[in-house]
Parts: sequence; structure tokens; C-alpha cells
Amino acid sequence: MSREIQQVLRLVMLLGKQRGVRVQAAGGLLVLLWTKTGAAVQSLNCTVAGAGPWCKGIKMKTLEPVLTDLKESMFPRMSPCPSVPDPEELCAFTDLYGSLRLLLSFQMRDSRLFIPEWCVRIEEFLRMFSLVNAGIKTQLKLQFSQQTFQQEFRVKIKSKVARAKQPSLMLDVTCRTQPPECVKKGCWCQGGHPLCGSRLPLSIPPEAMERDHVNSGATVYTAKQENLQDSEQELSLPSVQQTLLLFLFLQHSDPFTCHLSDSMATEALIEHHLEGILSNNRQAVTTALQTELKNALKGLNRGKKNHEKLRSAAEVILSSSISIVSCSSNLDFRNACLSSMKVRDTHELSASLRESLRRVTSWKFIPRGKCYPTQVEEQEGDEPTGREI
Amino acid sequence: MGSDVAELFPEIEKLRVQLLHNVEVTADFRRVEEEISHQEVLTRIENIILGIVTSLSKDEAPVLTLPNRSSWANVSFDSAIGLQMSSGSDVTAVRSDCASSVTKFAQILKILSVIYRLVQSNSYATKRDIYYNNTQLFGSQNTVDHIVDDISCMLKVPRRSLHVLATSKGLISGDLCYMEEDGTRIDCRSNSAAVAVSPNIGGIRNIVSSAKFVLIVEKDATFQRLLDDDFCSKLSPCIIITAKGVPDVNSRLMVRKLWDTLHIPIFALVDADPHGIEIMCIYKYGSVAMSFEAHSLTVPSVMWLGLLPSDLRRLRVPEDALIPLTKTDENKLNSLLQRPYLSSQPDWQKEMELMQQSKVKAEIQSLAAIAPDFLTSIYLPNKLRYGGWI
Repeated sequence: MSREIQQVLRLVMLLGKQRGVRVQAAGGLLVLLWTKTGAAVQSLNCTVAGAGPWCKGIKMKTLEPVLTDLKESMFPRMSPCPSVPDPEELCAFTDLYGSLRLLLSFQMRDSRLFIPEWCVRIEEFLRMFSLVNAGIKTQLKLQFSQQTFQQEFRVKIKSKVARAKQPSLMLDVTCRTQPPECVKKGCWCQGGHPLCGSRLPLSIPPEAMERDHVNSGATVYTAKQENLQDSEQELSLPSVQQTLLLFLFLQHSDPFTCHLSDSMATEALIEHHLEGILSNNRQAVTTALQTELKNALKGLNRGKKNHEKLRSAAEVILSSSISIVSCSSNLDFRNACLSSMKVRDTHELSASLRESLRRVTSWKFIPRGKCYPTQVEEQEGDEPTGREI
Repeated sequence: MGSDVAELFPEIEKLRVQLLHNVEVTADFRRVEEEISHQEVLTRIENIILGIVTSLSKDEAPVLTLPNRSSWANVSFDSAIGLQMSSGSDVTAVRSDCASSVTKFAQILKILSVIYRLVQSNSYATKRDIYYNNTQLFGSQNTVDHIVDDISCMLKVPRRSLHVLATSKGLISGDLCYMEEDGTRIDCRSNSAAVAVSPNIGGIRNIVSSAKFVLIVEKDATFQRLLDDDFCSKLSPCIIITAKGVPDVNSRLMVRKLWDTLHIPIFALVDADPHGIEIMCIYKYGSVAMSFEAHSLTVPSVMWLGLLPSDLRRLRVPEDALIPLTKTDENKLNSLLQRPYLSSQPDWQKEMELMQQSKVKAEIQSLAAIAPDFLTSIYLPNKLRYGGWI
């Protein structure tokens, strides 16, 4: 089932490329799976609906012949869906995103063939789709045995990423890691920061393709979370999990391919043989990945070095200050220091100064222009968008 | 020789009388160096620490404020003092919460704690001792040297009051005896060997000298030549001193001490090149970096004895002993001509413009091309006899 959904979206995206749809075009995508009990068996139906600017130019009437041509390749295991989805579901969708431009349904006749793991795959696929098409609000609804499971793939923070000789991407860079409690409000970057990688040509092993292809390549992108991370230190800071997402964007061009069906078939084929292609270019891909990881981790490593600098300097600052306070015979000075920190003796003063110095020097967040330090509330049209590059 | 300089060199005597007169006239305006008490030094350090503790009590990162000692914008010129730091000068903030400055912050605190203990116990340490006690923290001797001067400027306390001594570069010889702080008697009258300038000028007392003038010598090579030629006996009584190039603080303090105690003419013998002129200006007017201590370091009465650019022409120094000015020399010369103190020294200005026009420089050693002992037998005695200084 997930494969069929992928094929539908592949078709829509290819059509979008042909029409020059802008990447930041917004809209909604609804994937609705529901069961219907028939005479003999319970069928599993799937509807893919799209509305909004991202589907601009798609007309179902003109799409139907295309779908007919592609039926075998797109839906080998499915049949046309005689049922219609719940109009209320579609109304709710169109209320949010405008009139439907895309509505495609297909059916698996015997739902007993449906494997529960497919739901997980569908969910994973839609999550990935949402990550790189952050302008499109994606919903998944499952209605099985009168139970509804609904998931909306929400994008809090988007980032537009320019690509050389390619349309720009709109990535979901929302950070899902919660800051430790000791981090002050506004001192935590809520989003990731895409880094453009390099392009490298890939050779396709002969056995992977039915015919010759030229100009295959991959671009490596990494998106990293910029939140400050501390490894365990003497000052006992909690460690923070960071996420590094690596995107591999494949571009294939073939002067002999002009039909949509050819493009779809080629893409599917490349996807199918992806592992083989990457293995065939192991060294180049490994080098590219290592380079991108090194670049992505530069900031993190720099941050670690800075933390170590701050930590070791803090020890000297503390010991020097306490040495002077302890040696001093000036009662006024000593009392002023102790009362300032609300402690009784130099031992407590040392502990108190240490804690305070740790607080003011730890979790230093130096926002850059492209950071997202403020809490984002989910509201339509309110998502912060960063512009990279 | 050994005859009294006053009889043979009446010009020097005239100058000495004139200088004495100026000193008496301006005595009311001379700033007497304040002695900073031990307790005052400790209190100033404690104020710094209290500021740090107060910041931390408010959960604010402590910041130290250092006057900027490297900017010409922060100095002004006073003909009676030289280059001095302006009030309200630019400052640099050294933050404790920033990776790029936290190490310096820690270094300053460390040295402050060392100084505190030295002053409290009335003991002394050299800058070298401080460096070697924590080489990992400081990284280099230069770092310690700079920070000690920064602290001196920040606390407005002379370095000697911080009980941090520097190893002196300078050498001194001539008609001079004094006692060090620890009671050691120093006699600089040896004909063959010079005495190292004391690391603790502030502790020198019981200065005894009949010298009629002091000769500051730029280079060690020239100084050794004067020693070898028994200059101090020939032109007795006099004192010669060198800091072997750009003068360290102790050498400058020694020259200043000699001036304050003896009020005798102080002449400079430097190469006829921009570098030598700049060295002479440091003795006379001070440096930007130490402008905060100008009152105790400068000797505005220093006279330029030689080697003058006009001497090269007058004495017909052989051309092969002359060196063309480099681009760096020209830039340095231009920079010197822009200095605020040059306007009060028209004769110096003329000499420097002559160097600019001739585009050549020369070392004192170039006089040896005229005759091997020309410097000590002819040049210096004539200069001193006929008032050839500016």
C-alpha cells in the first residue's frame, strides 16, 4: 500500500516539476485509509487527496488518461476504488486547504492481505515526505473497524534551501529535543541548520538499469540541530542528544526519456537499486559523507572546545578569587564577599561562586541570524521560515 | 685626560646650569610620584575581586575593564611630561563568559592573586618566576609581561609597587655609586666591566656621583666600544648607560632616577636611522604602551647628541658606509614626523627631514670608516666641547 502511495506522490511531484511549481508552494495532502465491508470480504481503500498551490495545474480530467497508462506500473496490486471516502473527511480537508485538485483512490480487495507493518511504513514515508516538502501539510488518517487513527505531520520550523541548478527545497528543521531545565528561556535553538554538501557523479552498475543512463548524481545535505551540547563534565551538565539528519538527493537525467511513464519507471528503478548504486560508488559516497559529517560536526566540536576552555578557566578564576579572599585581613572586604553570596564562610563561598560561575558560563547560546531561539506556537501561517544560503 | 669636564667642556656646564634653573622654575608643576602604600595596593586588588563576587551574586558574568594601552587615540602630549594616557581613554572589556577572552580573564586573576601574596608578604618575584610557575596557563613569557603591565595600568599602580620585578636588560658604567635595597653597594666605576641595571630601581638609595652628564647609548656594541676605549675616564666624570636597543622599564627608570637625583644633562647617542630616533624618543617622551606611567619614566630633557643626519654630510662619512632607507624606514620616519612631540623640536624635525631627503641612514659604527677611534677620540669629545647636541 505504501508503494502505491509513493507512486501517486511521485507522479504529482513529477507533474509539479514539469509545471514549474515553486517549492514553497503550500497546501495540504491527505492520505486516508479506510476499510469497507463488502459482500464477501472487507476491502481496504486508500484515497490520496491534495489541495492548495502545490497541486496547481493538476486537473483530474487530464490526469485520468495518464493514470490509465500508468495503472499497471502504479497499482499492480490494486484495483480502482468503487467507494468514495467519507465526504465529511474531505470537507474538513477542503475547508482548510481549498478545493481538491487531486483525488485518487484505489482498493485492496481483500484487507486480510494488509499487513499492520504497512501502517508503520506509510507513516514513515509520509514523515520523510513532510521533511523535504515542509510547505505541504500532510495528514494520515486510518479508519479501521470503526476506530480512527489520525496523524498530522506538523512542521513548526521550515528552512528554504537553495540548490545549484535545481529547484529549492523546503525542509522541516523542527528540533524535537527538549532543552534541559537549567537552560534559560530563549537560550535554545528550536530548529536545525541545513548545510549544503557537494555533488558527486554516480555510476550505475549495468545490472541495475535496463538501459543506458547518463548523468546520475547525488547531492549530500546534512541538517543538524544547533542546540548546545555538553558532554559530561566536572561541572555536571546534563548531556543533550543531538540529531544529525543526512539527506541524499539523487538527480537523474536521461536525454532519451521524455514520457512521464519513463521518468516514473526510471525513478522507481533507481530507488529499487539504490543500495547497489551506492555500493558501486562506495568510495566516492563514503568520502562525500565523511566530508559532510566533518563539516556538520565542526560547530559541535568547536562548541566542545569552547566549553573546555571555559571550564578550565573557571577553575583558575575561582581558585585565584578564593585565595585572595582567604588571605585577606580586611574584614570589611571578606564580609562584603560573604554577604554578597549569602554564605557564612569561605568554604561555602567557594561552592557558591563555583555554582554561579557555572550558571553564567554554561549553555552559552550565541544566536546567529538563522537561529530559532523563541518558542513557536502552532498557528496557521505562523511557522518561522529560515532562509539558508 | 681626566681633567674636569666643566673646564674642558664649558657648553655642558652651561647646559647643566640652564637645566637646573628650569627644574627650579617648574618645581611647583612637577608631579611628585605618589608612593602607593602596600595596603592601598591590596585594597585595589580586593576591589577587583569584590566586583567579581558582586557580579556573580547577581548571576551576571564578571567583566574586567582594561584601559587600551596600544592606541595613539588614548594618549596626549605634554611637553613637561611626554606622552601620557588621557583620562576617559578607550577600554577593553575582558569577559569571563566568552571563550575568546576567558583565558585572559583567568590569567589576570591568577597574576592578581600572585601579586596579592607578594605585596602582603613584602616579597618579590620576577615576571619570569610568574611565567614558570604556570607555563600551561600563560603559554608565553610575553603574555605574563603584557598582563603585568595591564594590571599596573588597571590598578593605577606602578609595576614596582606590585612587587613584580623584571630582569633588567641594561648596563651602566661611570662615576656612580649607590646602594641596593638589600644593602648591596654598587660601584659603577670599573673601567673594563659594566654593571647590570638594578631590577629594583625603587629600592636604590644613597646615590653618589660627580658626573657632569649621562650618555644614553642605543646599542650594546657601541657601549662596549666606549668601555673598551675607556670613554668614562677620558670624559670623566660621566655616566654611560645602554638598554641594548628598545629600553626596558628598569633602564628607563634608572635614567629617570639619575635625572631626578643629579639634574645633569642627559644625551642620547643613537644610530642615524628611524629606529634609533624612535628609541631616543622613548627615553625622552615615553611610549604609548607605558603612557600610564609617564610621570615616572620619561625624561623630557634628553638631548640628541648624535649620530645626526647632518653629521654624515658634515663629516663626509664615506658613501659605502651609508645605507639606503628601506620602505619600512620611510614609513617609520613618516610616522615619527607625525608624532605630537615633534612640533616642539624643530631641530629634530629638520634632521629627520634631511634624512627623508637624503634617503640614507647610518650606524654609529660608520664613523669607524673615517678612523678606527674616531668616535671616542674626535667625534664625541668635539660634540661635547662645542655643544653639538640638539
